[in-house]
Amino acid sequence: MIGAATVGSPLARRSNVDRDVVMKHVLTAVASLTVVVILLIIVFMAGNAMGLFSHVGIFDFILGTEWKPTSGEFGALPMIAGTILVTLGAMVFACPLGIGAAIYISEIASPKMRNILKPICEVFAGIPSVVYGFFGLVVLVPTLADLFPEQLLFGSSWLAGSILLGMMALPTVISVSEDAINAVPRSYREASLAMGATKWETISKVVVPAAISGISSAVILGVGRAIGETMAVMMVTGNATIIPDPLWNVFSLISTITGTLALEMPEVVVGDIHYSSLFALALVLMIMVLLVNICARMIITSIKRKSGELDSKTSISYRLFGRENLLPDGFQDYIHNKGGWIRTAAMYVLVFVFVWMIVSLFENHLLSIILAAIAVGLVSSVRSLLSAFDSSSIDKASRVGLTAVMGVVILMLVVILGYIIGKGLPVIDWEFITQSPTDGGLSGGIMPAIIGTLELLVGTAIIALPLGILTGTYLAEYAKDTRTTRIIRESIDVLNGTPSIVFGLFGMTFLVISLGWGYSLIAGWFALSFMIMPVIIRTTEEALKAVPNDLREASRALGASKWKTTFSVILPAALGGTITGAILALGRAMGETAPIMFTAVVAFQPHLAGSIMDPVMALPYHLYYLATEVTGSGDIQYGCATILLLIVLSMFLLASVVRNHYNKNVKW
Amino acid sequence: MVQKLDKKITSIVSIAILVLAGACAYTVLGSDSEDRGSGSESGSYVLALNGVIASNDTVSDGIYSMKRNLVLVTNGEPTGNVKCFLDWITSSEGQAIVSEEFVSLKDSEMTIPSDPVGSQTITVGGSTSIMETMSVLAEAYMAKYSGITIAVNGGGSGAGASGAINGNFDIGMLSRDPKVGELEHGLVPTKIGVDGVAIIANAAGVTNLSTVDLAKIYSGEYTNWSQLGGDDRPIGVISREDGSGTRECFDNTLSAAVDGWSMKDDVVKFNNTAGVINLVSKTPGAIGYISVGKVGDI
Repeated sequence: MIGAATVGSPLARRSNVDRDVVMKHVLTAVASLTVVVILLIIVFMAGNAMGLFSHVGIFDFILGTEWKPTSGEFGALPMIAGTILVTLGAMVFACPLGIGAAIYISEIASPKMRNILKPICEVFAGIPSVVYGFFGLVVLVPTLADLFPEQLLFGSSWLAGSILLGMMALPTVISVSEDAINAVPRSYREASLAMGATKWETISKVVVPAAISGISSAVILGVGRAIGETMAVMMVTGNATIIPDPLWNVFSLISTITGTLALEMPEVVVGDIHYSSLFALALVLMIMVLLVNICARMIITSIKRKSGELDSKTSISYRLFGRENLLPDGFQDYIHNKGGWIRTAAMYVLVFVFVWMIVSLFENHLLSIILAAIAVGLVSSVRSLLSAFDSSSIDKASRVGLTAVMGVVILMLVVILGYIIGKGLPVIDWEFITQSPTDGGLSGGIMPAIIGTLELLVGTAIIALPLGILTGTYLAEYAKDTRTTRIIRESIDVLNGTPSIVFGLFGMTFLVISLGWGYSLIAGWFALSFMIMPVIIRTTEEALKAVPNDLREASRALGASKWKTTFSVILPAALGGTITGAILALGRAMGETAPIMFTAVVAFQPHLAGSIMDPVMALPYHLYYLATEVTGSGDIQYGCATILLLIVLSMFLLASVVRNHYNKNVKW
Repeated sequence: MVQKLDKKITSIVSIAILVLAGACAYTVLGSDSEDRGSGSESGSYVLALNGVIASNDTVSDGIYSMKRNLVLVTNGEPTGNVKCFLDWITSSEGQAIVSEEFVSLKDSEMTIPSDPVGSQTITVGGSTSIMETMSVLAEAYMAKYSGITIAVNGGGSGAGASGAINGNFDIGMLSRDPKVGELEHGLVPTKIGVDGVAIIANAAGVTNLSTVDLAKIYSGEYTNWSQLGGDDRPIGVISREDGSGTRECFDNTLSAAVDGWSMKDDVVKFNNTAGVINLVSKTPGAIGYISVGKVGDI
């Protein structure tokens, strides 16, 4: 494409090579920005947290059970425990549903059905956190209070938080496990079916075990999503800084780190000890997320090692002790031989403990022990009953079960969307969209919030897209496996796992206060950009890697330089994936509240922003403000939530249209 | 044949689930509209504290004890258009709006405002108790002088003070007096009114509490209204978050009444008044505290 003349002239070739080198340095510099950002975040978080540790010891902070920041008691244990418990509860809820739905989509649904179900599950991911919170506040909490009048005085509880978080983690669990199940080679299924196994036997004994490493990472990614969630949790857990008593009391009020940050940060005086203590909490949260990510990686490599995808001699235990497994060989054999018996026993014990724990929340101890014993008996009789059935009826039953799981997932979506949009649509008219709020939000429209959200979106796109796409390009096309590259990749991983509220806090201390930008559009742009950059980088990199090498080789063979190849041949070829990823990331940015609530938005600003240094109103924050501050604004809340939902969902629709378009037209 | 049957079963289940979905959505929607109907006659009411019902009258007469000043702060003496706006708030015109929610200033404390010049965006932020009134003030001022834009943000009293110190806000809103540390940073306070803190409860069977009784409810000593001569119903305790101006006023009053008093941990915390009002109105046996200015909302 570049023409023989250029290739022929040595001078031109030289300048091309120079340009190549320059481009490479530019790209390296851009990619290193993520390292700078993550370092800045750590420095500012730790720097602001230091003030606390001169007053309170680290262990007193982490293990202390009293959180009374205004009277000088800083014990973070209730929040740490709360964060862990709420996340665990969410997983109990999201794992069976998510994995079941993933199996249904990839193994049972017809191709046509699959094409409908997959985008529907993606819609789940598109619902903004504050809308989940709003739904929790107006529907879930009152419903729970009605269902359990004895246990729940208010309805706000660990249970409510876990159900909401479970819903929010669902799309992650579904999509990642579905990818993992799809990646299992077709021949495995064919071999299993050819041996006479039923569909269910194939799924449970062949496909799922083969995909187990991917499914585990789906679960852990779901944990990562749930642990950093802010707005929804804060609106339904009650935020009481107590440790549930007993520890499994799901009806207890509870508080999470993210909720406490969002609740108390606006009230503190910048620079005092309460302020530092909140940054220390944020630091603890970041460390927890980091630990989850490290665990994820360890679990996945160990599973891969066991399944033979990785050499077992690379494991840490082999390097340290010279053996692959630290348990004695005899024990391994024993488990292997008597495995069935031990597993059955373990299962019964688990059933007993679980039922006892749940029942003891309602009834006295004696009764709960009796009921738990009955449950164990029931399980064992069901098991013997099952073995009496032939495998084809079990197959049918499993099919119905999986369909039901899928149905529950869809049902939840229908209820959330139907409820909010059903109540919101009648409120929306031309005036609602084109007028400013009056009477402190009680009447009038929401025009400034719509415009503000769009302004935030455009600015974020201008900053995050070039940076993200260039970094992705660097990683896919230029990066070799050097120390620098590895550091950049690690930084992107850390940035990707960082909870959105941390971007809000970082934006507040660095952009708003240290740089002196104040609450402004531009501070919001940067906070949001930092948050979505890792997603854009990832999707760009993946899209570029999917471009076959033939194209690169053909282009280089024609004499095109590396950068010319990358920007004129490879990037355009990967445009579909890149644009889809970018739209999804921007859609997510639009629905976020936590990063902008401390950097860019105000509750009331009827005129539009005059410059990028002015604050704006934004839909997610306006919804939060109306739902929590303005009593009697009921209808406007639904209208606001509906418009936010419609805008975000239309972005998701756009993304799937773009993807389908490119999937159809681009074939290697 | 078996496959056909399978498909039938699957489709029947799918249809059943969709019908269920519709039914559930319908009941959820339906039940809520009933809730809203009964919500208008909610059981929330204002509890008398030491025999005095909180209202703007009892607060301005000085009979009701739990009250605080509403203060706007600027970094240094206010100048230019910011001064014009502040003077207007403390004038009879601004005070007429303030008095719709709060206790306004005495006539002797009022000022005569001058007109602002040019165009400017003034950012105001801080206490959520004042925010709604400030939005109304801002609206009226912007309608009067088209050159001026006023952005109002919440946050909290602490955010109001620190925002004014570091320049995020031209004016910070505090629902308490500024602390010594904040004044040392050069904040200049302008008092714009007084607000009481009202105790609200739902279906408790008790109409009056002493400060000591209230302290014992919030420290966890009393857990059932029957201990105070009311109905046999557990007390659901609702509070504002640590650092709130309303909370500080509440804590100060109770600490003054009971030595070494501190609030128990097992309370629902909200960072806004509306949350407290909503939850109290939905929950029989609940108790909470809010700005007197918001009593009309319960």
